[in-house]
Amino acid sequence: MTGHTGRPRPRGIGARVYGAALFLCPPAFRREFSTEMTRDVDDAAEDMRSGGGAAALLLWIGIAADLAATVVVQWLRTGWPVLAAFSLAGAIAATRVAANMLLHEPLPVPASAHDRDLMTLLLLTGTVLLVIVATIVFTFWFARPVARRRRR
Amino acid sequence: MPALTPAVLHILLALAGGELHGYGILKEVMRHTDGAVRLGPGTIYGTLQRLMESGWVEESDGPATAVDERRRHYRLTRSGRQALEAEVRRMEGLVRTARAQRIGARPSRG
Repeated sequence: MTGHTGRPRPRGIGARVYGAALFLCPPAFRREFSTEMTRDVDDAAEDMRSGGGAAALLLWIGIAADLAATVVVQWLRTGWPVLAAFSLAGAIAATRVAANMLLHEPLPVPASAHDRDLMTLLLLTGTVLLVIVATIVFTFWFARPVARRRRR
Repeated sequence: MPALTPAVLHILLALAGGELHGYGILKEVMRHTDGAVRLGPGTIYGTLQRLMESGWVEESDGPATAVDERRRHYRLTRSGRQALEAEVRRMEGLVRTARAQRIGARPSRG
């Protein structure tokens, strides 16, 4: 962080916390603006220092509210919440269809303890596979803006 | 064109006076509004991001007199100024309509 003199200066604890809280924002937005945002908060806190405790409290309440709104707005802009909602709806629908099929067409052979173990194993394997696929998709998605910026 | 949001209007107005960095925009908006409006950093940079995407604002090297040249400066583009002027004309029309209805009219002296 540099001040108006252009020399590095120690950042206030509030600005450091704010900088850390910016990790709640989508990575692309954070990479683009977090340095400037943290610096602005640092400058605002310094300017407010002479205003007294009440003014400082009001400033931090305002900054916290602004950050909360920014996190929501910026994530909405990425489209991820919509994607997550559709995925959830899809998963619920698929589970419902599968449950209906199982209820209306019971297994031809009565489920034994061995079958239940097999189904648990299949379920666990499916979950692990889903986690792996989700990790790969998320990694590629979040790495995308970095790759684009490096190409520039 | 739909009405501009308050944040967009304040930021465009602040940049109409010249190139500014983020904190400069914050201070200019407070000056314009006598401290009534204090935009947070998230609002300012989120709005600047959208304005840059729509081509109304662009990043600049900053004025030659910039004290801290490492700050990122922003300025209005031609289309940004046109949008601001259109909004001001729209607001003038609204004020004229309100005045005609004797709303917010200055009390006559005498």
